[in-house]
Formats: sequence, C-alpha cells, structure tokens
Amino acid sequence: MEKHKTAIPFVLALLFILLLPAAAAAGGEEASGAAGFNSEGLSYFNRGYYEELPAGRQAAAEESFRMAREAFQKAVAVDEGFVEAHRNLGRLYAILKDYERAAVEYRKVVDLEPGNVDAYLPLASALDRLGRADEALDVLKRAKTATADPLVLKHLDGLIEKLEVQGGTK
Amino acid sequence: MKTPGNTRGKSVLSFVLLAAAAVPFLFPVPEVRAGNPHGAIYSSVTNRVFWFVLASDSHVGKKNGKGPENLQWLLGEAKDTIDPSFIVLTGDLTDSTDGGLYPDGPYLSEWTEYRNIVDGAGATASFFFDIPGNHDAYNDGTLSFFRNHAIQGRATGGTQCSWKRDFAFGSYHFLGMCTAGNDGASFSLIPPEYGDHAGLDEGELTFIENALEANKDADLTLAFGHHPLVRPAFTLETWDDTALTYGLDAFTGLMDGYGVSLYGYGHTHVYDEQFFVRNMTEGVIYLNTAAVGEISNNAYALAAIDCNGISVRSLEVKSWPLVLITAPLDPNLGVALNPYTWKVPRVGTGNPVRALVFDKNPILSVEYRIDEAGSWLPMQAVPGNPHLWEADAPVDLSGQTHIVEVRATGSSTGWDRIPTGEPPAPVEDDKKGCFIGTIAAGTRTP
Repeated sequence: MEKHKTAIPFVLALLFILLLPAAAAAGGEEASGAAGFNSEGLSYFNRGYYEELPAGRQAAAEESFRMAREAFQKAVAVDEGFVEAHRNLGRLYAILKDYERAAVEYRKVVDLEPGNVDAYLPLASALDRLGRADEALDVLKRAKTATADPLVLKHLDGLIEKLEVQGGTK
Repeated sequence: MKTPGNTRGKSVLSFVLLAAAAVPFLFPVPEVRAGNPHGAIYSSVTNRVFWFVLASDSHVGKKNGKGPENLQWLLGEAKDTIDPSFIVLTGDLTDSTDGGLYPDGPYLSEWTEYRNIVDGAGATASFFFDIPGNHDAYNDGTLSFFRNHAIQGRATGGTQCSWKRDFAFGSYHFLGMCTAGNDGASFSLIPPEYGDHAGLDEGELTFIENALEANKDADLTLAFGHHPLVRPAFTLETWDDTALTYGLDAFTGLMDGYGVSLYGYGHTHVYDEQFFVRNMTEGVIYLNTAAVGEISNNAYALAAIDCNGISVRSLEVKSWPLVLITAPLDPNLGVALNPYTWKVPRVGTGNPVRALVFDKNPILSVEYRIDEAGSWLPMQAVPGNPHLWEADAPVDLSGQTHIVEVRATGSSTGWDRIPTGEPPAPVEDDKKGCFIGTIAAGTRTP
C-alpha cells in the first residue's frame, strides 16, 4: 500500500512530462490553425475596411485587403469546412468586386449551412451583380426551402419579385 | 408567533421596501423640467417665429432611388427659397446596397456620393444635422463611414448632436440621436429585428441626458432619431418595421423629465402625425417623416415654432408655393385635442391668422377664409419678414372650433388648412400599453 502511494506521484510526473509537449503542440496549432488565420484575416479586413478606406487611405486599405485575403485563404486551406472563413473570404472578394470568386465562396457557405436562410442572400447578390439574375432567382427560391417562417418567406418573395421585375438589379 | 416563514416574509417585505426606496436613486428622474410644451400662446405678435425642415431616408445608392436628386434639391432650391433655420436628416443617409439586392454595405461609393452632394451644396455642421439610421449601421458597428463622411460625423467625430437656436424671444434646443444599433450586425431575413438591433445604449443616453441638462433653460426641446420608439401594430404594411429594442424606458423618462415636446423620426417611409404617451405624464408629438429618397409626395416636412407653438406639415418636392399656417395652432396635431396646441391661452387682442408662404417665384396673393364659407380675404406680408403673412379674422378663433384655410398664388396655388381633421381618440397599440392616436398623412391640403 505504502509502495503504491510512493508510485502515484511518480506516475503523475511521468504523465505530465510525456503529455506536456503534445498539449503545447495542440495549443500552438490552435493559435496558428484555421481559427487563428481567420482571426488574423479579420483584423486586416477590419483595419482596411473600417479604418483606412473611410479615411481615404486607399493604398493602405488595399494592402490590408491583400493580407486579409492571404490569411482567409490559409484558413480554408487548413480547414475546408470552416464556414466563417469562407464567408469572410466571400465578403472580401465582393468588396473587391471580384464577384466570380465571391460567388464560389458564398456557394460553399450555403453548402456548409443549407439551413441558414441568411446564407443565401450574399450568394444571390453576387450572382445578381454578375448579371446572372436567373441563377440568383434559383438561389432565393432554394432559400425558401430552408425556412417555414411566413415572415422570412414574405421577405424572400419580395426579393424574388425585385429580381423578376427588374430582371436583376444590374 | 414568530415562524421562519414570517421572518422570511418580513425580510422580503423589507427588501422590497428598501428596493422601492432605492429606485429613485438607481434611476433618477430629473426634477427640473426644461422645455415647456405648454408654453404656446395665441397672440398677434409677429416676431416670435422661426422654421426648419425635416427630412429622412435619402438612401443614396438605392437603384432608381430619388435620394441624390431630392437631396440636392432640398439643399439647393428649397434651402434658398425656404431659408430655414436648419435642416435635419434623420438617418438612412445611404442605402448600403450599392444598387444591389439587399443592404450588404457600407459602400464607400455611396458615402462619397452623399458627401459630394452635401458638401457641394455648401451644407455646414451648424445648419445641416444628419444622423445615422439602420442602413448606415449594417456591418459597421462603430459607424466609421458615417463619422468619416456625414456632415455631423466629420464635425463631431461622434454619432449624436445637440444644437440650439437663441432668439430675443426665446431659446430652443434640438437633439439628434443615434438610434441605430451599435453591434455592426448584418441585415438579416430573420424577424422580428431583421438585423436591425436599434436602441440607445448607456453612452448614448448619457449624451442625451447631458445635452438636456446643459440646455434646460430652453423654452422648447425637440428630439430626432431614425427609428420609431415602438413597433407599430402588425399589419400588411408594417410587418417588417423595427423600433428601439433597448433604452426606450430611459429615453421616455428623459423626455418626460425634461419636457420634450416632439420626437421626430423616419425609417418607415410614411408621413404620419401621432402622439406618444407610453410611460409619460402627457406625451410628445410623434412625427414620422417619409423618405425623401423614395417619393415626391410627403417627401419632407416643414415645421415652425410661432409664439412657442409647433406647426408642421408634409410637402411635395419641387412644388411651389408652400403654405404653413402657424396661428392659430392645429388643435389636432397628432391627436385629437393635442394638449400642447389646443386651448392655447390668448395674449393680447385680435384674432390673428398667420401663415408662412414660400415660392421660388413672386407671390401674387395670399388669402384666407374661415369655416369654408364666404369670400377669400386678403392677408398682408409682415413688415421685416417676407415669408410671414397675417390677417385679423372677424371671428374669435381662440376657441379652436373653426376651420382656417390659407391659399397662396405664385408659381401655382398652394394651400394649408386646420384643423387637419378629426383624428381618432388615442388607442392602445398592439398590446404594448402604448397609446397612440393617428391621423392620415397629407390632410392639411384640402
């Protein structure tokens, strides 16, 4: 019994020594993994879009956007299923008026979150801005399958009517 | 007999009493009433009048919107012709759609266009008071674009403003508040807020309270924000309307404590005169200005303060002449027998009829008649104020039981008429305990 008592601290110390590097590695991976890259991208994006761009510092904003894009791209490279990173990358492309790439990212968001009715809006918008109103309409009609809320459906019908009447907003 | 239960009951009672006693300290109600909504008089004095313009929802950037064109007109021809003391633009300065499907901005292009319009028209921070709306706040929690491009944002670095107009006859305080949410949420399809988390947070309420306190010597205080204070009753027209989601009770307490006379807002794109009384001793005129960026009729409003009485009406852009009767006051402004405009005490003699008349072309005649009968009688321009016309009616108008009409001929013929009609008695609004009377828009024009 006494022998066992002496052995317990030894075993615990051994486990600590063995597991410490693994825990440190896991923590490090978290900081520099998909979430870390996404967070880094958001920092660059926010600096560029909400500080530099409104203040007229266009060149600085463009550099921040470049850094943001790289970080978001790293995030989705690490984790292809990371929906926030795809959403952020889509928004960045849309702001840069690269609607083709924005639509690709937003489509991934919809595929990852088919039950999120709000996810369909930016995809429809990007397609509409590309002049592909028919595809935008299809997206909004698909969004209607993601909800049973009559007010959400009413809102979607309004957007569908807007596209149908105008043949797209572009 | 002392039982544990009794002890607990007494403890609870003591706590409740203590808490009740502490309420005034936790949520102090201002003791000093600043503005006096009951300060209006019915008088033949003609040198106690000034006027200003209210507009809202320019939505610059909206596809096929009229915002840029109407805003340019408002800050150009209308400003030059009406010569208002100031102009207020109560939010949704930009559309945040960049002509697209839904508001997913902010967009620098929209804000640059807005800035070019207001700067190009020579609008200054002491004359043009623009405040943010929900479209200006989507995806921009700090309202960075507003602060960098709106007139008031650039002048103050903030999102709220307070200004005063001092005359020999009185002082008048005005507040521009940021009711837009501060969370930078995106537009959403999800009810009931649709991403529009409107409200007044602690910092915003502190600004408002400090401004009210600093201007408590004002004769009248009027406040402006973008949102309705409460959501209207659910109808086919209002199903997606949003309103304050926090800060309402504190704000109505401040309005009540400091004697605010009017709360003006936009957001709904509808012109409406109501009277808001929820949690208030008497209430405030609750004025909804329509969208200057969307329509021509009822697109903006002209308000006047004459002998401390408020008059207001909606107007059509590019339409002249415009007429606003300022004496006697409309007893049904927002609600039947408005406590601030009905039974206004008479001071002095005579039965004055006064109206402000504006036209970009010379005014050929201004006339009035009483009770829709008899001949139209001439009015005279007041010496020293070419916009103000007066007459002395042959009947006693102080009882507020007569219909007064004024028509002016210039570019065309313009009209005004009071009372505006017979609005319904206040009704309970959608189970919220909010009593609001309503009157249809545009009824001042016969």
